[in-house]
Amino acid sequence: MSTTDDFDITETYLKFLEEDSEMTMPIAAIEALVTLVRVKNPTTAAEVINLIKSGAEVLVKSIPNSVSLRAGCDIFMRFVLRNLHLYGDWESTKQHLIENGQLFVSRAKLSRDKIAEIGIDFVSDDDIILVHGYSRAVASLLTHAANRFIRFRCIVTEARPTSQGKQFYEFLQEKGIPVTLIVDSAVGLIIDKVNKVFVGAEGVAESGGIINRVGTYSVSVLAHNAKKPFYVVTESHKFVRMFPLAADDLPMDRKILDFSRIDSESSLLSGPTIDYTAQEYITALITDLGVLTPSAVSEELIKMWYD
Amino acid sequence: MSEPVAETKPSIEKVPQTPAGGDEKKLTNKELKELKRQEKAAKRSAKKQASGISVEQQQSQAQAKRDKKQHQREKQQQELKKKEQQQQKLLNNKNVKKTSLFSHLETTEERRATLLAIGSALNSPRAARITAAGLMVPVVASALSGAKVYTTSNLANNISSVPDTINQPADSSDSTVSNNVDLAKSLASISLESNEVNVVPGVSSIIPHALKKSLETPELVSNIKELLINKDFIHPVISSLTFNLAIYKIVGSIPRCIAMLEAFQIVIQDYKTPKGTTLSRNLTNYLSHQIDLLKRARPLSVTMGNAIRWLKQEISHIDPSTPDNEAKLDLCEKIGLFAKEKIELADQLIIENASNQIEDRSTIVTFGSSKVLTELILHNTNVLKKDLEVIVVDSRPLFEGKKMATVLRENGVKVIYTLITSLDTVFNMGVDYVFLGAHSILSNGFLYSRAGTAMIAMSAKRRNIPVLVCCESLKFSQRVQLDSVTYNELADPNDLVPIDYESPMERRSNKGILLKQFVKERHENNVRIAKENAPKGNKQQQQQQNNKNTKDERNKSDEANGKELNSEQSENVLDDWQKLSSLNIVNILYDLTPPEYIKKVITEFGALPPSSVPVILREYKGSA
Amino acid sequence: MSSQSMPSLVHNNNPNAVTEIEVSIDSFIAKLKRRQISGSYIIALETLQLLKRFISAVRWSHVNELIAQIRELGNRLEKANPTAFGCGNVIKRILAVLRDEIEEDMKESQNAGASSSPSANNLNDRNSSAVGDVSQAEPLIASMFNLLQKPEQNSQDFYESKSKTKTDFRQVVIQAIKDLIDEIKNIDDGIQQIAIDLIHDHEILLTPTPESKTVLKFLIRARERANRTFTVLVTEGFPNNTQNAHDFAKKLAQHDIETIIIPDSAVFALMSRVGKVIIGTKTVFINGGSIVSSAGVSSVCECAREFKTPVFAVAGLYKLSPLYPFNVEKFVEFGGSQHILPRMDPRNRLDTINKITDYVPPENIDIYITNIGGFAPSFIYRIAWDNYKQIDVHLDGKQK
Repeated sequence: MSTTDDFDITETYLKFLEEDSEMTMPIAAIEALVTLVRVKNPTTAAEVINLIKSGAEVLVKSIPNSVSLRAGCDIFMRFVLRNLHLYGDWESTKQHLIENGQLFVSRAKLSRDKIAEIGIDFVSDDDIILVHGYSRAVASLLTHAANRFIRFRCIVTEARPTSQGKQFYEFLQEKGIPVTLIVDSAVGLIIDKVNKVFVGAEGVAESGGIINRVGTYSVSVLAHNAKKPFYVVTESHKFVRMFPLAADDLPMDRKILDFSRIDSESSLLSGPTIDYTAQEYITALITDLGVLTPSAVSEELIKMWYD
Repeated sequence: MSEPVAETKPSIEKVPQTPAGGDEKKLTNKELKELKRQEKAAKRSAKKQASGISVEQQQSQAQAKRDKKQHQREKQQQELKKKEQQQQKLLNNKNVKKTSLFSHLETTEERRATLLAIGSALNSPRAARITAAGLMVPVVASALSGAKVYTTSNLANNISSVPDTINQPADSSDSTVSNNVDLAKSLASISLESNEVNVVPGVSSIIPHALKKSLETPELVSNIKELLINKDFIHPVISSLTFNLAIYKIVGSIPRCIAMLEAFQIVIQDYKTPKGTTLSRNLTNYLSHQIDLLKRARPLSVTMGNAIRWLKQEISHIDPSTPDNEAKLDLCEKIGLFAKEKIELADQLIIENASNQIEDRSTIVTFGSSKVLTELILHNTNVLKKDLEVIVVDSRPLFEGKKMATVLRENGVKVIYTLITSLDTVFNMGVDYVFLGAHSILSNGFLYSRAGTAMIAMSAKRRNIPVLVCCESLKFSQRVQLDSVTYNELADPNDLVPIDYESPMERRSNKGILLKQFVKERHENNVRIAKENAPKGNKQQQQQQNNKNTKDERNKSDEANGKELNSEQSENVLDDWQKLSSLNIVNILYDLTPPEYIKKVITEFGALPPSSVPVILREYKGSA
Repeated sequence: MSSQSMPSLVHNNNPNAVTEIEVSIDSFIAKLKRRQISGSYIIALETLQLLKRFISAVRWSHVNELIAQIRELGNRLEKANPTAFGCGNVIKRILAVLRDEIEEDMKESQNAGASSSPSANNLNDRNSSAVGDVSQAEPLIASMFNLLQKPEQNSQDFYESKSKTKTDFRQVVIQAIKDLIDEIKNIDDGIQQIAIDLIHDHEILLTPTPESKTVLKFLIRARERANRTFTVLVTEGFPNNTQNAHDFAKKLAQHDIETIIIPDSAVFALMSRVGKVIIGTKTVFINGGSIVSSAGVSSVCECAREFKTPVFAVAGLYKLSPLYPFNVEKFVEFGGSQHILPRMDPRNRLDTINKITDYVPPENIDIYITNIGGFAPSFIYRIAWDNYKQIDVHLDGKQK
């Protein structure tokens, strides 16, 4: 184990993310794990499994609150296990993984384009679209729609305590889409005027619900009450093996409600950063596999994990 | 005669069987009886031979008698069967045509039957009617005029027993009162046992079969009798109002109320207090007779009920010392004021109130036709110059929305007219408000309004579109009700049979329905006569002839053997729906909307949530 | 349009067969465009007959060409009447069968052929396909791993190891068409078996879709064979469906079923007394929503939702479509205004809407009864993917 200290998987991961801004976290995780495999070069099946498991654990622990990272690790783990289980041949798989590292990244980017193609049917003229949080998949979808000369307007929530709202606002303005920024608490006020809601996802849970930026749950409930469709735009490799029971049933390092004395100003805004939206509030998921209902997603996940 | 004949026909008679004993005993009894019979027969034939009739002749005579008797018996049996069948049919039809859901409500058939009966008795005691079966004069007419009138209708023939009893007292006295009493007595004495009963006086052969059947229920006949007894008290303006209401010429709870109040004004003006009683005591009674007749047209609306209650109260407050003329004038004025206050002024306040709600450039959905809503929209577009788009939703069979849409359009409002089946699309068009009219609002907050209102309110609520109801306080009711089935009003199911776009009023108005009916009856009569006169071989020929004689528009049925021809409207699939015992048509007029679908009720007192209706009823108990 | 298909038939040796089939196709398309042919049952059967003749007449050298030609035909038919989903559905079914056959064939040929590393081949097998689709049983699952798979194989492989001949494929397709025709004609048995148990005695049922023959047959069967006594309320569906409604009610009454005709406005009033709502569908989409051929059904189902009355929909499997209703307005048909306003004052024009079909969203339907079983609306997508291939969902454009 001491020899493996040279290879810091977390660093590799972070380096991947730095180098390529378009890369998503799960892809970076997979790339990091592939590099780990390449460096360590295990020979037996048992070694492989152990190596990947420990690597994934380290990674997850070091990067807090990253659900999509976990998704990536889970998928990779599953893929390897499957191939080993079915074919008992590690060598060719290893070759394949090592050689085609870049391929995965480009495929991931392609998948975003695919999503945009599929999802473009959902955006019609004169739509008023509400978005929450800055998701690259949603951004690509909206740009695609704008490029096809579909006239729509966007309402962006601030998505406090992060600054994602502001970033997204500026991004959309650059693209020439009419957009306005509102505070999170005003969603209930304007929800009746909105036609549909688009959000991204950090991870898609086994139940078909999603894990995303805090505030997504509230927006979904309001949309449901106002009978507005709520669409989730995400790539298929974000499916994660979790099944939260409630919005706060997520693994987090901080307590959600902390009544102890807080001294500094900044820590007032250091509350939870993610929440869980149940599948009954989601109308459909737009993924690169097509448009799926939440129950279809859960079926796929069940099939994937329960072999 | 029957006994000896029977004895000569052992084959037809039932052999009496002895209850006890084994086979041997039965046989021996049989044998004994046989022997006895033969002995008797021999004795008789000897007697006859003595009187000169030969054996062969005797035998042939006996045979002839046998045949004749058999023939008679068969005929009797057939007739009996026919009667039974008819009865069975009548019973069947009567029982089934009330659906299980709404068997507790009065059907239009019953109402119409009552009205026709009373109407003919009231309106034309001396007029005769030409019917397909010949000249027909109401039996009552003959009773009052004292003359015996001949009629050729089968219907009158069967109550030949009745005219005798009626005619006798009529001859003796002149005064109308005693005539009425006797009439009542004779009516009461008429029984319902005979199969082809046509007891109700003034019956014309134009009444369809359905009505004839329904006139057999004893409750109905007793109702009619009561009304007939008091028929002289009924003012002509009330009877014309009754008929207008019954044919849906005047629809809507407010128009009906206004018409009724106007009629009452005339009635009161013409009223003369009889000797021995005061105005304040007798007028109420007098008015009750009028109201009884009005009830027969259609069940009273809540507005009418409230107005009547108020009127009766006013009458009871009249000081007995005031002279009649003054009291009557006073009363008429009060009625006028009541109408003005409760209806016109209330409407104006409602319009003011509701106009504050309506924003410029909004889309409004309304259902059916409501006077106050039409005025509201016109006020907003023409006076307040708002830019509104109105979607009028309409439904079969009354098509009231068309009236409203036409009126609005003529005044320059942007109107979209749809049917209730397109609700889904309508609500996807960006609707801002839904405005509904009301028949009444019940004490537990439910809205009782035209059928279809509830569906619209529910769809609107589901899409978070606010629903507002405009309702004068006159329409508030003390009643409570939980669903639309326990209390409702049934309209004529035959209105649903023709598939077209006209309201029942339009359909009935100037198309010569009676003429068509006459021709139909004439043809049926011809067919019947042809059947009876010609032997079977010629039947087809005769019928073909009859076919040729009829109008060209008629659809001819394929087989010519005894099938009834349909009338001109045989394009309708359901023209003979009455014949299929399992088929029913239900045409209800009202439904109940739960209060959670309604956001606001706008009355002349302001806007309230629907749950506060009993509060208003309580506070303003005097006028409500 | 016919000129476009000519290039694909350029190989053919028999010009007469081509023009004959072109004529039939054109006349069928004309009928579809003019709405002279309507009703999913009839459209599906006619399409299959046409397809049978098309397959026999058309010439192709490689099975991919055949697929392309069938797609072309399907595209033309769909464009002729976009709201008649019957054509598209059956063509996509046949295509799915054909693709399966190709898959099988490819697998066999690869297994039969000598290979150095059987596992590698197996891996190839699993992770790629000649015609752009992965193995049938898990279309989605494997594609999640698309990310990590080997680059796709060249379709050239297939040419070498062809074990089935052209005639074999043709046989397969024609057999598939025959099977599908049989299935379509016999859906009633399957449906009735399941549905009969869902009705019990002395129940009041509501049918807002009287034009559905499936519902009619099912109700009559329930009365005659299973001898249930129940009452049926039939809504009129004015203005387009009233004739059908009256016919339907009359037929039911003639079979001694207690029937009551009610106007559309009375549905809410009577819903409290109704035990179940039965609807027939025209098409079932992959999200579980469906198109019905009567207007007003969507409001009836909403009413039923309010009263928590179960709604069950009967549909044959051929009515299932792999499309997702992004924009419902595109799939709902509207008719002429003369049915609503036959006479109009030209000075006072009124706008009007006349819906012919209606869309019922999946949350308003409780269960779908098909000839292969009963399914919840949220599970319909699975049945769809069992019978269709994702690549065939949109017949226009190139295969991706």
